[in-house]
Amino acid sequence: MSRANFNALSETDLLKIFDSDPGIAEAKYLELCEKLHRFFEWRHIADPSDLVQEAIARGLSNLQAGKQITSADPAHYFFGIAHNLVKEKWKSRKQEQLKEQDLHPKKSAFMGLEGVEQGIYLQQCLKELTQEDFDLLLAYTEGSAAEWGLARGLQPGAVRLRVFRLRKRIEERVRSRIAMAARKS
Amino acid sequence: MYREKEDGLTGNDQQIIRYLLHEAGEEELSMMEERLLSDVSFFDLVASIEDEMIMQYVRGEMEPDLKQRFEKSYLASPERRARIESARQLRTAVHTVAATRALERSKKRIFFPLPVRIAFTAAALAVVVWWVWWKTPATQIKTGGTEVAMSVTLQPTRNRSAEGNAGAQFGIAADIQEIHFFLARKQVQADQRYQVILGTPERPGIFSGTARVENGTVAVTVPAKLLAPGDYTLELQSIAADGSRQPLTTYYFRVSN
Repeated sequence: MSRANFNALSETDLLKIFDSDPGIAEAKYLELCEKLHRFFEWRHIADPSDLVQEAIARGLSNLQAGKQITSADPAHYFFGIAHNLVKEKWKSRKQEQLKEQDLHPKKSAFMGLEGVEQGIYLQQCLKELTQEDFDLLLAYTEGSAAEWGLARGLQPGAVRLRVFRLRKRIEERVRSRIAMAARKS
Repeated sequence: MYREKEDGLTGNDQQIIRYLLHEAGEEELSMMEERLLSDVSFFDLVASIEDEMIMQYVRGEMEPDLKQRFEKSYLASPERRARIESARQLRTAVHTVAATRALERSKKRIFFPLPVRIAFTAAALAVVVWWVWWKTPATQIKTGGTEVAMSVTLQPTRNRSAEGNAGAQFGIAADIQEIHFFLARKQVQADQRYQVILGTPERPGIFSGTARVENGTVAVTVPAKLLAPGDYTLELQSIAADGSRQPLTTYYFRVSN
């Protein structure tokens, strides 16, 4: 997820909205962008990335004009803007006639990496998981997460959320490895 | 499968699925958005249901009706296709790491003194030979008085370490030239094309071949000379009409001396 381009407000100023600690602020900002992207996908928006930038830019512009974020979580504020953008039908999805090869993309878009790189980073992060977390993930990929949860007295809904958070954690770890590799090179 | 009883899906979950598949009416859509804006945990719930639905699709276990609705909505969007691909890669990576972990576990086994090991190996071998000769899942085929092939039925296992054993274990007599593996599976579609990839954690692709459907199981023949004593994984994949492969189940087995 790339950062939006802002002219008037610096990146540091933007991140301060999310947290005074730069590391936490950046993580929260990236999480917000991911969530907005997903939200626009759910609403069938043609170019979710464009709209994520638009939502952030509008929010920032409002803040520069003197508006205050009243909710405890700034993400709520940006979600409100995103919601309005969708209502404006800024860009509505056109059902494209896809060619056969488009239906089965050869390349993966996971975190913008090629297949081999993805596999390596992912495997490295998976190896760091505890046995229990790994067993859960294995059960999830094999379709037996509900049984895994039942054996431990967990309801399917709780297992599902646990897997969701686990996947998020893995993605964060992969992202951090990518950033580390980028710094080294 | 998305079935209310087994997965604990509520009416609310069905509503979320309709929302994700763009099937929600105006009123339902508006209600969903209200909740998404006001309740952070609801966003996570919707996202987790989406992830689960995608993974179910990747496993090839989606019910036909839902699959049709899912494909209509998800294959039409590049971003959503990327999510499907991500899930597929995660699944493949998990399988690979599972095989590696299983091997590491087996290497950490306690070693007994040599005489004990010899006695144990001899006893185990006797049991294996007896098993191979007289009991299923392994049977041998005789041609002109010589055994040339044997059959082994493999059950899907989570992984070796979790099950506390090494999956199927068997020995291969010197005359055996082919092993016929029968891969037990909950659902086998007669018109589905399958292939298998045989490997070890160090050598993930020592053999690949087309599998056939026989008596409700998937069967594949592997040359016996490829199977030196050791631990193996056999990944079953489905072959789509466009030739793309999708991993379905991984079977584990051990070839003993």
